[in-house]
Amino acid sequence: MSLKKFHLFFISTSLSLMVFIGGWVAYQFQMGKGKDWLGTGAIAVVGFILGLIYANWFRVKYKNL
Amino acid sequence: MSSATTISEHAPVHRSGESTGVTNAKLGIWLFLASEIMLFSTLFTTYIVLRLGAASWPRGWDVLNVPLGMINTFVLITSSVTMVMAYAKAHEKNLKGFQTYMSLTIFLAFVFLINKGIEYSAHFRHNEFPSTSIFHAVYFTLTGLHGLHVIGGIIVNSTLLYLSKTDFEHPLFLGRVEGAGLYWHFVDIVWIFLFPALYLL
Repeated sequence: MSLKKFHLFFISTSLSLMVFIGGWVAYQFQMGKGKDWLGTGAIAVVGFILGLIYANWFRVKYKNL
Repeated sequence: MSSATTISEHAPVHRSGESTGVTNAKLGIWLFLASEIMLFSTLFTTYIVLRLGAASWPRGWDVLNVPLGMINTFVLITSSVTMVMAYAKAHEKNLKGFQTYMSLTIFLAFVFLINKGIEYSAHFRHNEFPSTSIFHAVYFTLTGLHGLHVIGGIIVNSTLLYLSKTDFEHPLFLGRVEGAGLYWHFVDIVWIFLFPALYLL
């Protein structure tokens, strides 16, 4: 596997982590502690959106890497 | 036709990747990473077995610094981006760009280690050591071993940054950068699994 493919795999894994953190914050809300982790949830959502934009940009920009 | 020409025409040529489809360097780094995957898989399995067998296990978010862990997660993700950018610049034969992104990767690795040091020192101040509990033994073993791999990455990347001054045009240099990049991505992906396993579950 080339570095380019491994990088895209890594970004996909990171995006999955952002989804996991989002789910974890939702669980904390259910437990009544959600407010403490609101910032963490917001960062995960922003990270997920930025990650998606970056992955798309990287695939197009470095098509021949 | 001279005998020398005849020999050169019929002698087997051992070019890298002739039988495997990849360069020897890439095959070597993937074999190394396979052994690393086995090492960390064993430790993760040990963690699962110890946790399932324990009468009680602390919640990661109650005893560990989740915000700092989260910052470190983003630091490592960003360092992977700068690493692949360094490789892209080496591919484009852009020395200045390569050195900039490689320096950023090394800087981010140091930021990760400093944050980890802050976290460790807080634990030590609260008299929390690997011998304190099974949880702490697992936490310090996994994060400590990962930290050692980060230090290894700093050494490799710093060496490449130094060598780029003289060897940037060397035909094997790009392959070396790719190998270092694969290693660095592996180190980062281990953290992507460590963070939720230790801090969030």
